[in-house]
Amino acid sequence: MALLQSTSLPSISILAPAFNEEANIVENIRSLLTINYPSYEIVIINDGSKDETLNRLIKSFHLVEDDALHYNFIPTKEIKKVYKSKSKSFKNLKIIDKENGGKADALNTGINVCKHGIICSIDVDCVLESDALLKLIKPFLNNKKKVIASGGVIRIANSCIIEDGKVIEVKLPNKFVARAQVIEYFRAFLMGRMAWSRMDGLLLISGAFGMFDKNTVMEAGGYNTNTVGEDMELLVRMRKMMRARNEAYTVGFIPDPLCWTEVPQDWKVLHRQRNRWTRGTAETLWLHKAMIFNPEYKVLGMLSTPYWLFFEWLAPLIEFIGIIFFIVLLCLGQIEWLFALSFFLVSYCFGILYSVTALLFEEYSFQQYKKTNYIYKLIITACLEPVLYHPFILWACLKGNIDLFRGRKSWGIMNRTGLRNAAK
Amino acid sequence: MNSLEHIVNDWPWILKLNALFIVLFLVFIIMVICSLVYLRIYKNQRERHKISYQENADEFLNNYMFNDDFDIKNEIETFKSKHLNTPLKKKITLRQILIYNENFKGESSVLIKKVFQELELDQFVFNILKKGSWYAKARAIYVLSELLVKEPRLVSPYLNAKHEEVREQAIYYFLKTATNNPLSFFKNLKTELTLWELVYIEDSIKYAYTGETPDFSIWLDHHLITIRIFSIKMIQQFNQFENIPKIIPFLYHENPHVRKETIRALYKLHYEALLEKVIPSFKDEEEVVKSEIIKAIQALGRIDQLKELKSLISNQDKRTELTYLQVEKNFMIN
Repeated sequence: MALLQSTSLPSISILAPAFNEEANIVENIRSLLTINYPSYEIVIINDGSKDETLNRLIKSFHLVEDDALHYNFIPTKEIKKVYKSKSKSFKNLKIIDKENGGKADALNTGINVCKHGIICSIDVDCVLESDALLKLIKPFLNNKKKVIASGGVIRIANSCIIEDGKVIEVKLPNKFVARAQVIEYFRAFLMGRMAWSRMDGLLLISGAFGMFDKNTVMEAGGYNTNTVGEDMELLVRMRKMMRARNEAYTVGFIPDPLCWTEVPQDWKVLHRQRNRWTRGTAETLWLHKAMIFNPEYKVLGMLSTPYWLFFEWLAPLIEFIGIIFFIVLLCLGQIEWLFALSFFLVSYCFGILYSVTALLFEEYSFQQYKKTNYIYKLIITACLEPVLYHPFILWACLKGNIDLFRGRKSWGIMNRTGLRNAAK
Repeated sequence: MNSLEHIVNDWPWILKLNALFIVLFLVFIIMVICSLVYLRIYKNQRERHKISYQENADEFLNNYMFNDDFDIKNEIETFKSKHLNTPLKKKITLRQILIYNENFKGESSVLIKKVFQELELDQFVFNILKKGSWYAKARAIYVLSELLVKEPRLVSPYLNAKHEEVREQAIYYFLKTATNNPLSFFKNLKTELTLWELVYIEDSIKYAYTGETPDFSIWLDHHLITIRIFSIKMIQQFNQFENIPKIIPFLYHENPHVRKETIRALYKLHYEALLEKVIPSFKDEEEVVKSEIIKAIQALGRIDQLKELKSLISNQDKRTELTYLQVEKNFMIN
């Protein structure tokens, strides 16, 4: 039955921060305005863009100043103006123009200004499935426990054909670096997050598309502006707070692909992204170190946080130390080649097995890459990824740790091709 | 072969272990890749078969419904033996029947329901209900709802099913097939309904149920709190003014969510005496109820009644304060 016409579904505020997005912002918002959900508002937070982002918005959506009241529940950088549209076609659009303060600060501003009890944070250039909001809200309504957040599967939109804000044809990315990320996303979403959600151990709802209970976010203090991993840090803090209150709660996860995003196709940009993710992980783990191996937090303390510590943060460091040790032995002529080769093959085969299993999950469940030759390309990518792609990611993570110890806090520039323009 | 065995036997244990893992992983990799390729071929083939089964079903249904020269008795037997001999063929035919059922009204709709029984697909659906997996059962109940097959005793146990999808379909079944008293299944419910299920019931009453609007007040004393809240909400949504006296006692209910819903229902029903009942208790109310009282003043009261509350809002209670300021501003504008 079409619940999409229901007037009883809770209203949602979609929060999308924008910084120097003049190239695609108007088209991106037009796409967001076509989302299929009975009641929602779109709040675009212009985070002190230095380009023409705001002027383009004012001109395209006939914006005028909005004098609605709001209260700064979470302290943020100063709001210059809030705009709404004169046109009835865009009556659910709100634009906030504020001083630059970063993504977390922009989202906090959006939380203060938005009017609905459920918030959905998204990257402004994401392409959402038409029923994405309906699917993502379901855990909030269909659970006997309080649901504090929910997330879904994110897919890679590079090379896909996109028209009017909808993915018309799913294509496998042309570039190897993007294809390797397709496999990486399969592993992360179809195996990792699915399993963690089954045992209620999720620590991350992707910043690209996640839904939150606004009151719980505000009570936890909103997004942390001092970390570059604000999405993970928020969820960990919310969970910690709920545990401290001894309130029954859960985090929802929808196994369906709900959001399409552009991943870096350029090695430099990918390097910056992974560098940032590493710093975000390390900062979050450091801030919440009291949770690690703490039985009071049950699955979170005994499994999730140790997993993130060893397999997400420390693994690249351990791997790097291994490589250094190998080089030292090589220089000293101490390598037993048969041993070295056997260890290499074990880890290489395990890596491939893990990737092809993720491919099998995808093929069994969603099978979004319909063309038969895509499956062969993905198998070849899975075989090449451990030797061509993984070492680069290892280096980016290592650099992230070095930057972290040097005190680097920036996001780095994330150049994007722009899905809609590129694919059309 | 012997020399290889000799070499391996001379290896230290760690090399032997690594070799074992390599072989094991390689075997798994080959198995997974073979499964992948097989699955792709199987799915492609299944898709092709589905298209051909769909064409057969369409042709049969078109002739059955619109061809006067169609020898119904013989053709049904032929179709059953040739085109309904596998579960997949039956499922595809069922899907096509549902599409026809959705698109045709009146006499054609009656014919569609008749062909469903003549093809003995009802027995196929009943068997799924008895033995199928939970997701197949959910689909089976949906088929029964859409084709208005009245077998409430078969569906009733699924109102308390473990899987929400099955529960939803069971609820939908009772609402869709009811001719009066669509909420009678409430008496069989044992656990609180989720918000999602309540939205689902509300929408089914509005858009799927075609009988007379039920009297929601009969469920006001239900043992489940969610059913009571739902009934109060529905009394408001369907403007059942005659039930106002029955919901007034809920203004003093111990559960704040019941009080909140009652206040909302009463001010939306323009119950003039509401404010004199709720303003005196404002000070001691929970945050969610306070905001609702302020909204009630906006709907039914005056600005001086609102201003009386200002000193009663704690400095810590920012959300109530914000609601107060918004309502105050609306009074000023109007």
